[in-house]
Amino acid sequence: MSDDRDDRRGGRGGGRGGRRGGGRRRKVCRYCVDKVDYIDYKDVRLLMMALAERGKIQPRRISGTCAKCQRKLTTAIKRARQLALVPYVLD
Amino acid sequence: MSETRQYELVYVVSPEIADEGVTELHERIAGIVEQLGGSIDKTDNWGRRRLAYEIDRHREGTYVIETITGPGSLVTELERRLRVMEQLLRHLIVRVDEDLRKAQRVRDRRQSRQQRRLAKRGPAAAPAAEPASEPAAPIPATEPAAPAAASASVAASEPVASAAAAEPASVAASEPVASAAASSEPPAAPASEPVASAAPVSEPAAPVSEPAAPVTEPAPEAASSAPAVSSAPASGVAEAADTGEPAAEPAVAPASEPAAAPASEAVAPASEPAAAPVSEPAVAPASEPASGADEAGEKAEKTDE
Repeated sequence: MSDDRDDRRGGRGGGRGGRRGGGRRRKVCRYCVDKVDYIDYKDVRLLMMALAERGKIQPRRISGTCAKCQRKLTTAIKRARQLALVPYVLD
Repeated sequence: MSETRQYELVYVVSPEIADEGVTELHERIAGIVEQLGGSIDKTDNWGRRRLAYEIDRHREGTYVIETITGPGSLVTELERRLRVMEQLLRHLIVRVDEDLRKAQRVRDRRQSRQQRRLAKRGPAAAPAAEPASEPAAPIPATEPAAPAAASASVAASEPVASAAAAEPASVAASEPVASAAASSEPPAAPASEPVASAAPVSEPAAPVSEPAAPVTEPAPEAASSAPAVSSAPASGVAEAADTGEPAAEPAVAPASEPAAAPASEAVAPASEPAAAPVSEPAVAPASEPASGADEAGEKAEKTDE
């Protein structure tokens, strides 16, 4: 169990060279750290960074965003999608 | 009585409408708003913008943002009128006063807290900073000495090597990164050449350096030293584009705040090139750090589905 954890976190540092993507665990909310008080639906750059490869909203378990910010982010992205600022689907 | 609220109206005008048509439309909307007992405080015309997806076969549109103050009854009526306008591809009315007020409150609170903190430990700040930077210096020399004889270059090559499988671009990235790392204070002359050609390329290097932070987690001191070393070349590459000097400074800063500083640093360079190549390439670099990082997560998601 703890082995598995170690592998995900320290895969790269151990020089194992596994191509498990970045096994990073960001434990902090990016928006809290950057002190973004208002996640604006017009801020395309910010929102695009919160999208996964295919244009899905990145889940919290991957991005490490706190619940509060994730909620704001989700509404912002959905608004931006309506206005065609941010895509529904990326391909 | 009917209290006034602040709204934001965004509408996307069809690209077939010329600029005069857009201003005329704006005047018409202003007339409607005034008629309904509101007022337009601010107008922001973004001009023509590429749409994220096709709407009625159009690939671009003119975005106009209006800040409106007025009673709530205004919205329903305005919404109805907007829906009838054929020149508009999209429109959205959002109430913003509450959110903005909340954001303002958070900002105020943070500011006052900061001031209080500064006032409290004004004299104590100087000695506090020094011991933080001191332990960071000897540790990279002793702990990772074995893998990192030339500490910076190895640190740089390690994440690059692991990323080589994922990104072909990172192979190119290893070159400028290595050169930047070798000369730990990259002078403008050698640094500018590879950087100029690899301006977008340096960006995969930035997220790559990020995973180094949790990687060395078992030893917290080592973790703090590793991002300091690995982020130095990354930020050196990024910053060399602007100035050229500051490679040594960021190396010290992340040492005191191991997680926060390198993370935000890596975020910044990733977003910058995303803005430069505007339309389609912007999509790719923006999603790259995300996709590279959560490949495992994405896989997990797929298996879930």
